Amino acid sequence: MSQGPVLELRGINKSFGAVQVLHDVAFSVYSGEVTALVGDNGAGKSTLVKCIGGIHPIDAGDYFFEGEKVHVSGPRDAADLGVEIVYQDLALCDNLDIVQNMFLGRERKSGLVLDEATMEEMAAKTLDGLSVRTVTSLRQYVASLSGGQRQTVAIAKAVLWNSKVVILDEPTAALGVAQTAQVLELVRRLADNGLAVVLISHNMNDVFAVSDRIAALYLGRMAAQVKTSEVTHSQVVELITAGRSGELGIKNGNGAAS
Amino acid sequence: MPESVRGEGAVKAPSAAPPTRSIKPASWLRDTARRPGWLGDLSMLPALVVLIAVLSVLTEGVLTPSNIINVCSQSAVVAIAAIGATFVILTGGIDLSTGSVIGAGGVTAAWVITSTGSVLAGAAAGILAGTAIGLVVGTVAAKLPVVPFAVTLAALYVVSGATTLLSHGKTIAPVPAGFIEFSIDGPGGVPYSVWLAVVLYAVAQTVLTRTAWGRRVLHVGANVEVARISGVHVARTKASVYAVAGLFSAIAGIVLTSGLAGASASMGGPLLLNIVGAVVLGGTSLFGGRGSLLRTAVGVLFLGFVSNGMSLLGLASFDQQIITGAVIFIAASVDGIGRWSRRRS
Ligand SMILES: Nc1ncnc2c1ncn2[C@@H]1O[C@H](COP(=O)(O)OP(=O)(O)O)[C@@H](O)[C@H]1O
Ligand SMILES: [Mg+2]
Repeated sequence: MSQGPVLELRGINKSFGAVQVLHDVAFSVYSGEVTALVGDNGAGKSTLVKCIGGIHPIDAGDYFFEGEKVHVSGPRDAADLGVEIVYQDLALCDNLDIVQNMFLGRERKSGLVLDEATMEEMAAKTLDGLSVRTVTSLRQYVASLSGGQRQTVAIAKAVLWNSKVVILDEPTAALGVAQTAQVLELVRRLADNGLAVVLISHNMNDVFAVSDRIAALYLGRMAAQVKTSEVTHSQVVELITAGRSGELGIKNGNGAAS
Repeated sequence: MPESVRGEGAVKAPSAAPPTRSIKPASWLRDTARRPGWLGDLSMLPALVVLIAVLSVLTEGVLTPSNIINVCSQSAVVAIAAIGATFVILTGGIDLSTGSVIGAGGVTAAWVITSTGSVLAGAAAGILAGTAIGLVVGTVAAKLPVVPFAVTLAALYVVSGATTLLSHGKTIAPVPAGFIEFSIDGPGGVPYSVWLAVVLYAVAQTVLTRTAWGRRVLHVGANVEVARISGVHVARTKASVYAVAGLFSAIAGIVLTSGLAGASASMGGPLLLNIVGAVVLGGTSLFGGRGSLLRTAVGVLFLGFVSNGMSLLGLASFDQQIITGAVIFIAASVDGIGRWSRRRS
């Protein structure tokens, strides 16, 4: 798909009290592509994602979805658009089972009562569709899952809804090598199936392994959005650490570090 | 790798072939890793059985039908109020105003009954009053950045003060004989109040486990932040459980009015500890997210048999209190240790 971005933000500002965390941020996400969102700790990646998800109201800026200007004022609005987010620390409830987690807040009902059979079936289908082999029971508590299994369930929760954009906030941060590879493979497959995927990661190897585009945040400003094939590791590292790299990045006098 | 990566173990290429095997829903029904269902809710049942066995040895007449009916009818008021308390505690909240709402609901009902002669109108008025109080308390507790403990403690004083004021500190009586009969007799020799409690437990357990609202209650208690980002209306859910608690407290107050043949503002106060105690003893977590009405039912019966057994043994009330405390501690420890060792295995 070589059309315009499915999701586009322009001029996003966000402050917490007196502290401005996001400055005039632009961000575009394309269907069928993995966009890596990178940046140092505290650069504002999670804040940007929470603005996209409607958790934080934005102070200024425009939010476009499929070319149309939209207002997202809560998690339900984002979900209604088809934007699903796996948050960094808040993906799942430990003492609920897998199905309960996947349908959290959006249970299927038949009449007045919950339709457990349909929910189980949809959960199973989705996990199957992800070629996930690691989960043995849909009715086990999430607390009993390994880190990789949890991420898988969280991703399954995100793709259950025919979503168009799936955003993953550091899904591999707590994982070992093999599980990281599995999650990355899953991320790639989602994009290959036509979804727009945003992956937040600190690992340059991972970023270069799966992404089509890279967006680098530097101190709350979008330093650059580039095609992965057109940059090198060291250029991206420079964008992350200094906000610029040669012709790329925030121009001098733009006052990135104030 | 410490975590075993089941399945093929290796990483597939991005364009890997579709999965060769399919997870069949039916297989999970037989899966041992499955989340414990209602059976897990009966973890306190062995303690109840042991208690009854011990009492049977120590004294006579514990397991006679008339004594069992006696225990049930003595427990009906606490049982009904504990339904509402369970929903509140499942969200991680606490309602200290329960006892005062029992008084308010009962007094309202008795006042309407004595002035109109209609028990039905009285019951409706009492239930309306209790639910309205619960809704106000819940809305404040959910919307303001004040902990439910403080909000409901304040409500306890305000509600019981207002009820005392409006009833001039008197017991509202007399109520019709047929209304008193409600707590004494009924089908099969079991009082209507007990049948009512049984029906309410069945309904409440179904609502908790089978409806979206029940699931919402568990979600808010399990992890309020995850619930919020998943689009759950957290404040609305929290407010609703206090309204439900007000509803059940009022019903309990009406049943208590029937049992006491009249209503006073202070009649529900002493029941608060038994109500919360029954919920917690049943194994519903005070942190929220885990528990059920089935658990509370066992907790109510446990407390009911403790006090019944000690009356049969002819113990003085101070001794009763000490022993009640000890038995609760032992029962809770046995349950806690059981869960702890299961988690380690
Ligand atoms: N809810 C909040 N209130 C106040 N400050 C916040 C809040 N959330 C994030 N911040 C601040 O915003 C900055 C960016 O944080 P974050 O978006 O989490 O960065 P990243 O995810 O890139 O590591 C940090 O300085 C952080 O302290
Ligand atoms: Mg972050």
